[in-house]
Amino acid sequence: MNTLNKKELIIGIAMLGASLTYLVLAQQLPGHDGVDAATVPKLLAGFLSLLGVMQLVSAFAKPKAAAEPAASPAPAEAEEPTVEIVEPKTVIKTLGLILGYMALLGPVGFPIMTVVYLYLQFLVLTPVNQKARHLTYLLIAVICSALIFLLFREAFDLLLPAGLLNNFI
Amino acid sequence: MLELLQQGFGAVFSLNIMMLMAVGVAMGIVFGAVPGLSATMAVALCLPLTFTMGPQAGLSLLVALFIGATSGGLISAILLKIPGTPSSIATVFDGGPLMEQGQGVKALGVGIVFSFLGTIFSIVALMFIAPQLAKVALSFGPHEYFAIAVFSLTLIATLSAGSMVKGLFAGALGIAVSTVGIAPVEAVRRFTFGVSELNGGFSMLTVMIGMFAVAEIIKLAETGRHAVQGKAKSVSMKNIKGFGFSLKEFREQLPNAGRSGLIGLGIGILPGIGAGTSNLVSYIIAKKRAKDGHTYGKGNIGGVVASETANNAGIGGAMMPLMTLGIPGDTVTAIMLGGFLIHGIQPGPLLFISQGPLVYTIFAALIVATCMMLFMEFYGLRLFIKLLDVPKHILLPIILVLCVVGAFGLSSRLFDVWSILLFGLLGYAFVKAGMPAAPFIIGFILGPMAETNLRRGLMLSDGSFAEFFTNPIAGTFLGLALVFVLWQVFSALRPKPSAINEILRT
Amino acid sequence: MKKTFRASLLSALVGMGVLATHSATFADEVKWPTRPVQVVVIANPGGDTDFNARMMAKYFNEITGKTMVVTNVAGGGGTLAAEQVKGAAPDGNTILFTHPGQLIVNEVAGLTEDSYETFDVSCIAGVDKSTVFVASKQSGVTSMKDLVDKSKANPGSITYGTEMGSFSHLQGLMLEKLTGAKLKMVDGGTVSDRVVGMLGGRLDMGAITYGSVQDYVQGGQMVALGQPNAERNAMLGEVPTLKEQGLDITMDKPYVVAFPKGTDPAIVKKMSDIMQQITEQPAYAEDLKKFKQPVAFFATEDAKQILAKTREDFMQFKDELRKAK
Repeated sequence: MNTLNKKELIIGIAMLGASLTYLVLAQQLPGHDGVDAATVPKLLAGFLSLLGVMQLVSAFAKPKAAAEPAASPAPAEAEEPTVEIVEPKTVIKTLGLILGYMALLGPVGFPIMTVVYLYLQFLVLTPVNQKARHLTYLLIAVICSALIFLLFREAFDLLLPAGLLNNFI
Repeated sequence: MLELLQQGFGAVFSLNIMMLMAVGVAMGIVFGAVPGLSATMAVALCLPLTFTMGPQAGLSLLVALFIGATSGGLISAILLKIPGTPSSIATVFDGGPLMEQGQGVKALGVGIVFSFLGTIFSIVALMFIAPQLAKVALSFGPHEYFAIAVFSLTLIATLSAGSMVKGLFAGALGIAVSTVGIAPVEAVRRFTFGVSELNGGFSMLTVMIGMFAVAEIIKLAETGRHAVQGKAKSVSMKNIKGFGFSLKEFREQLPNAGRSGLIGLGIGILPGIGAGTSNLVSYIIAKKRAKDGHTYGKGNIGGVVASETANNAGIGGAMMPLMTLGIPGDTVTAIMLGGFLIHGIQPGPLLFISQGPLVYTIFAALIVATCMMLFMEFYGLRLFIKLLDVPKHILLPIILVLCVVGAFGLSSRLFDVWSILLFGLLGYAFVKAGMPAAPFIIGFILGPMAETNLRRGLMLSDGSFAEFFTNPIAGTFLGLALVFVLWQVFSALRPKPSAINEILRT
Repeated sequence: MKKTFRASLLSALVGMGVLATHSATFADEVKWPTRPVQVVVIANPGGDTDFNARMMAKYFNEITGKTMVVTNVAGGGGTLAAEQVKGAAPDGNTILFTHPGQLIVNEVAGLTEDSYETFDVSCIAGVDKSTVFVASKQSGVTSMKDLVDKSKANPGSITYGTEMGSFSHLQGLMLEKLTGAKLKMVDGGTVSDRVVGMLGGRLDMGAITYGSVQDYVQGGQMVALGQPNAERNAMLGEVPTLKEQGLDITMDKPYVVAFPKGTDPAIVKKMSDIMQQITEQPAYAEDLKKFKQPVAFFATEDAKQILAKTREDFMQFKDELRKAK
């Protein structure tokens, strides 16, 4: 089995997994006679499962129609040149940063966390052929954070979490 | 009437109001363009500011914000492939590819001009036939809404760029996600796992910015560090005159624009459904009707025209029931209703009589704001392009921060901030799996509409399904939906087996 | 025997409220507010609840010199807003602005386990008296008596548009219970949706804010059947009260100001005092007129009493509200 079919198979399994989870949850909804709050979810769960199965079947059926160049390669990827280097490490770092940013937004506060997040994220995403300009990055981060925080607070009455700075601003 | 309109313009052409409106349009454009900040938020945040102004100044400001924000969404949709507001989602489909082909200016120019035309078209309709059209909205009850939702949902199949199975799955998954929270009609909590923050379900805005903006950042992280820099900078302002497209192209798009304008207007008039839906629907229909339909999604200006004409035509559409019936047509006009009430003015069928001068001031404000929008975006064009000079690794993190602000601003909860990460991951998974995001969004928007109105319709007809089919409008739409599905199935089955895959792909 | 029904003690307490003292000195000089105070409103901007909260905020700013920031947290039938305040630090910087539709009906309908006692209720900042029972012209109903007769003669023939499990649903249930009429309860969506439904001839009647329908009442497309107020609200024009029509029904929707549990009682008291000061300002009364609302205020103890009574009344309809229709 080539990698493409394997991928389609994994997608199919994920689809079916999600559908069945939804189905199980939908079955547990309280209901009564006739159309109730559980009706639409149940129908939907059935439809989702059916599509999951169809995806699996088509993934298995592929090798036979091998002459056909893959019915569904990820279109976004297909368009991109194959030489691109994919960096899972950067993705994980970015996700980690976003996660940390959101988790600490409440306790530490928007102004501080935004500076930290922006600075680190700039560093992580800096292209390999460029040097990281620490001072510039820090400056941009501080200005953005302060500008956004103050603008929304003063002009729009939107109180972003101040966190640690609660008693100072 | 002419006299009243003259008076209206007279009121608007005061230095005070003109300045207020210029600020409003500019701010609206920014709110529209920044993913995460929406037209609704712009109007909601500025509503309190209007309390202290007179009704004419206050409402002019709100109108200016509305127009600016609705058309501002196209900027980020084209330049960054991230829709600025839900009304510009379909603009991404062709605006993005055009940008990649170095035709960004053209896409922007087309978007701006047709935004302008769409808005003007709807204002004219608002001024002349609002009472008649608004009455039509009255004949739409739960049965009709259900049928329209179902019809629009069947269009999802067309949006599936890759495999049809995946497209349908994405759409159904969108509906499934929308069922989280308190069920419509009866007070049953669904899929909340006892987490009270899930009671209200997920907000449309968090779904959209998650799927598009956050997913875009993750994509950048994946390849951005090695991407050939300057690829995006291939947009050149050299040899660009006016709006960057020819008169011939303009003429070719007129039928498309006319149709999209009507769709946008029609959907905009119906309360509870607006530009977020109409841009997608008119995009799909434009794609179906176009001779070169297969190039849609690969960089056809027709796609930008359809989306932007429709969403802006929704402005006048949404104002119609508000001003003639006192019924807001969408979330923005719902807040605008507050803007009226706060000044002691109750919109309703007698508004044109009791508040004639004010009504025409609003008309004048709409027209002036639209012209300001065209003017600002035309001259801003060069400025927007400059945005691309900011390296992506600087720009996208800042956009993420703004998305966080936007999500938080929805109702000051960190929960909404977490949701954008959740949908960002989902969006990224979609990209990896070759699953289109658009059907998911449509499902998410229309699913609840279909379910709620199904339940309401059944209550009205004492549990009988018959009325969904015997009702003329509902029956027609459901019939159309059925024909559409059958036709899709038929055309998928008819050709030789070797071609099946080909069909499944398109 | 004549059935008597009171949705709240409000009418009985109105006198007391008016008599309440002008000697509202800040007994315990507590240091509050020190920072911008956030008011979490259970509704979207633009509606009556939001309006009341914003008016409170406006005058609060004037009196204390500190800003009061209105945050709209609609959705989940008000549960989202309630949860947010419930979980906030009880430092007086987060306030819930709500009405019994969330504070009591949600509990009765089984949407939440929390009662109003989950919060430290400070005061009732105002009372909405602008709701009227209206019927569409197509329904043929012309008065309250007509409605009762018609629905008794032909049970379920009159369609009452409401949002299931909401305040207006309860208003309909009360009407049924008191008159013995049987209405067909249908989910009609928001106020605007219901107005459209009535104009389109799909719904026969409903309890709707007078402002939303006044043009239609004047234009003859709708008939205002009556206002459920103890006395005529002069701002509603010629709409008779239900009492005048022989139905002893009064229902009000008080706007409640509440703090998270455990807030310093001195702060709770001070907020109540400030609110009272606000209600005494003529400009405030003038502002409220825009929403056809007279000034009303109840301090902490009265407010709690009203809520307790309201809860007791509403609990009678527990089964109807919980029964999924």
